[in-house]
Amino acid sequence: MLKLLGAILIIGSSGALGLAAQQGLRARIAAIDGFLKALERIESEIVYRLTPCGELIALLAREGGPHAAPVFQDITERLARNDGLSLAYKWGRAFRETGPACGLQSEEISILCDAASFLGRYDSEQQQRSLRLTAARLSSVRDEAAEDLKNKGSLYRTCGLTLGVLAVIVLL
Amino acid sequence: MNDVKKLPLHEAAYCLTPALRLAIDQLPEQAARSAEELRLRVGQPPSLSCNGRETALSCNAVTAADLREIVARAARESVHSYADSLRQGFLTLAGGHRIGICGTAKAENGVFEGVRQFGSLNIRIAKPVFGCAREAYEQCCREAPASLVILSPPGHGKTTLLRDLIRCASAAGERVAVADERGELAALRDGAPQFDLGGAADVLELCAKKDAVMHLIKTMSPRIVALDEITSAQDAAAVCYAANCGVEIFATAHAFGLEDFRRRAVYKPLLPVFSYAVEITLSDGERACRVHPLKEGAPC
Repeated sequence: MLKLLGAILIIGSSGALGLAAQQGLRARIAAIDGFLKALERIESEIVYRLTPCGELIALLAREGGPHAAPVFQDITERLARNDGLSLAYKWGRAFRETGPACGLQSEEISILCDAASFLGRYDSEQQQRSLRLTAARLSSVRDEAAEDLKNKGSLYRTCGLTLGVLAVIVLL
Repeated sequence: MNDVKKLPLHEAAYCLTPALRLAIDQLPEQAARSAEELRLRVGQPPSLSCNGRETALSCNAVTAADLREIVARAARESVHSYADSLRQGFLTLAGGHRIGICGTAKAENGVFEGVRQFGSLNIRIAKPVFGCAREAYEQCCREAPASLVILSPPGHGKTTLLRDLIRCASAAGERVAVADERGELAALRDGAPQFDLGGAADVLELCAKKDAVMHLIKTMSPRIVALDEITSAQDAAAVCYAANCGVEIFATAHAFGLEDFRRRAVYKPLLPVFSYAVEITLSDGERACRVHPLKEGAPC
């Protein structure tokens, strides 16, 4: 009875590890989707309403969705500190520090950090062009992540379960 | 040191990059107090302008990235939100200071659309002089407001005097409508004038004088309309229109004196409009105002 219980525990936990790895890939795609939507919102606010960046970031902190909102909340808090540091610096720090917890990986964090070099610094047309370029770069990373999920997602789950079964066989 | 920090130059320097701000903070108090402009040109060290003369500061040359950063900070990291102002080539800072922008122009269908690549910035330090127009106001408007024009060459303080005249009239309870075409009189920022114009002044800025005067008279029913720098026939027509509507005019015009004002063709239609001309003279850095009655019977 104890052996059966142990075998179930081993297979269950290794299977869960595989599922967690698959879930990580899913979360990355969801996070990228969240930031693609945020970029769309930024573009339309800048082009059609000329919304100042401070207001825009605060808006996304409230309405940016579960993946993007924490990063924008972090930027909002940094902007509230009157420390003389630029938006570009605060934007970059927030993405590097809060981005990973929201499911972003280094590649997309680096792309989103690049947006700070033009955000709020040029007229709306130039910003629109740069935002579209950022969105296109992010979309291509999303496509790669989706491909990864397709190829590796089931593999991770199966590997997890298989490793568990193998471990049980070896231990028995 | 805390007093030095409160000088207008330090107030205007909040938009500078940290390195430039440090250079400004380290200036001797006298230099900071007398500064009228801070000039920033790509490839050159920043320089302070005082009485029309420039003195370079001993710090690194300014870069194009510095200028971009300064404009972004002045626009509160939202250059797109200040498109109208930038199209006119300037940005207003808190406190009424102003950044003039030069560089590579952007044009669409031959129409100037602003500056695309920044080459130099001129930060003009605002220094309101409270009470400088009191004497002139009491001479011209002792019993009731009267139309007057302030005359001097550029840089003699016409706008400063006009601003104080508006304050005097406003303090006397007269409703003043300000047609602030270049945004220099009130320097609105988020709707609030950065210069104190008194409690009875309404401002319409960044609008051509002709349209602004019509709009203000129709919507604000003022007793006085104030406008800065009458330079063209259209501006003179706007003044005549306002005068025909029964309001008094406070205005400024470029002229070397009353005779010069009378001689210039563009000002000829205005001669019957104004009761007084206030002439500003500058000698050894000292400014003086002299009031000339222009209409018979106007009290001296």
